[in-house]
Amino acid sequence: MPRTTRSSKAVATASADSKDAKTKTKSTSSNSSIYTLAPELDSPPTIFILPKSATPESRIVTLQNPRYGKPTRYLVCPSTGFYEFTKMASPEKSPRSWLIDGTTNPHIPAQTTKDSELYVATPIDPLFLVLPALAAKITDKKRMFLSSDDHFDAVSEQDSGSGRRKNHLLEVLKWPQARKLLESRMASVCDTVEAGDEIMFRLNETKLVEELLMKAKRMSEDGLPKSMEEKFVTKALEAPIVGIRSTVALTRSSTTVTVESQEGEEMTETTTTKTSLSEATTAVATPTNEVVASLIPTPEILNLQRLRVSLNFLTSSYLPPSLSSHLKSSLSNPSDFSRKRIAGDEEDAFERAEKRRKKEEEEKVKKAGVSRGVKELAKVNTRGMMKLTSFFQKKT
Amino acid sequence: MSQPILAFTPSSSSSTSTTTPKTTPNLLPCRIHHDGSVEPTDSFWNPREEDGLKTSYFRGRKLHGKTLPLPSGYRGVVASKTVNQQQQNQNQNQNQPPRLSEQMSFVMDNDNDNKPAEVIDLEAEESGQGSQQPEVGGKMQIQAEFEEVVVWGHESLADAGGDAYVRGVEEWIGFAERIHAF
Repeated sequence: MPRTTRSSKAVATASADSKDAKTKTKSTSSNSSIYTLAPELDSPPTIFILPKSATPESRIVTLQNPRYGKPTRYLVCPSTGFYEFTKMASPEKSPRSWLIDGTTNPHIPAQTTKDSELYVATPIDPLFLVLPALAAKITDKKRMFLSSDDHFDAVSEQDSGSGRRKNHLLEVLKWPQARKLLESRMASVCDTVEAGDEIMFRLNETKLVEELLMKAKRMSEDGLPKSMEEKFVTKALEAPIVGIRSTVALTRSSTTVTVESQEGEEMTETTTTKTSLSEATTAVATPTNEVVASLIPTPEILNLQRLRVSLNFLTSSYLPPSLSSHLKSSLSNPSDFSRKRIAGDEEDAFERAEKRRKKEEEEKVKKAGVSRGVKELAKVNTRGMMKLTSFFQKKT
Repeated sequence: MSQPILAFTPSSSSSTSTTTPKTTPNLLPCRIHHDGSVEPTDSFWNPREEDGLKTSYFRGRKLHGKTLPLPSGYRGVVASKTVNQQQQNQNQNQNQPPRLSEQMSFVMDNDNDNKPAEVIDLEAEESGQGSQQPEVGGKMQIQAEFEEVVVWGHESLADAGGDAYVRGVEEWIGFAERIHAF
């Protein structure tokens, strides 16, 4: 049976094809397949999205990934800077392929590719690329000032066997502008000293934190991308009561509307199904509305959450793991962060001022009971005078 | 240096005509186990647009297309990689550390295929050290350019929440620019 149906189908398609082919003035045989598949290509086409700012002189190079330390491909333009590639691929459970439309002038055939990768090149702050070198000895108490070349050497690791560089950083540095860019970005988070005609760099943690915070603020000020906002801001700040409300509405609707319970479950908010259903939802919704309103996060909280998400994203995708954990611990522990007093501990300052005032008052009371002569003597400023004991020491 | 430095080069055909051909990549919701030409396409691929909605039938299945225009300041490129022969040899040689005996032997026997490549390799590296430009080891030959991508879903329309490609084009590019501005 299957054979006969198949052959009849083949005839049908063949006749259809021949009709088609006549208009195209193509000769057809009785064979059902008139087309032959072209041979596979050795190097299938790759789809890129590139910034227009990257000039034709741009090169795809391998550099060390700041987060994972592995060699990764980057796009470097000698005049406009560094770009990172983000690969978009389909998950295994939903495979995909590209079908690239053909063009007529000049003629390029339509092509398909087995893989469905899309490479998007977006700018990357060159600071991140040198950060692993700058932060290599972050926990050491004594860190040395090093020249930029020493830092660059640290991120262009050598292969122990052949002595060749595993990445192209030293090649990239042949472009004077790329070198200048990297050094200027290093200077923004480093203390620098000039030794001869060379500038030496040492990471300044406070500067780095300020730089990161500035970035996080910039990321969050106009709101995060929609999908990110939903997942990490709205969901994270969702009040738990909302969940209860919807389940109540669900059970009500399913009991009152028995026939359309299936439909009702799917759309708890839309009240188009039946009057009884809409009554049920509104009846439940009105008393809880006030509670919900008070549980909606204020804009301030929303902004803080956005800032937190941004900072987390930055530290978890562009900083070496050792540095991000170090920063996290020093940020969550302000007493440890002694180099710069944060404006946040105003309360502390207030308490201290209070104490000082009390002490002064006490002293005033004490001084009131002392004779005039003693008071005048006490007033003499002995600062900078030689101590009496110094006269009795051996002369050197 | 397991992978060579690559340079984007304009397509060979565009050297005669001034503009690079324009195309549109379509992301199909299925895998096709074929790399290469599938001409002629009109027998199986005929997308239609009605009221801004793209539909197409592919092997009897209805597909809905979502057009993703690229953000301003970006261009799409379809390119294929070609690695220089010399660089390929160099890569092969990199796998094992160069031994003195190997470098000596090319003087003695010249009929081994591998050895002349070694000679060129050394010279190339020397000239590379002195020049102001990074040494290019391969090309990304640009075949065509595009300004939009169409993401096809099987009886559904892709959205930013669920589709990595839509998210990447619509959200990531702008966000990345904000992250890395300095």
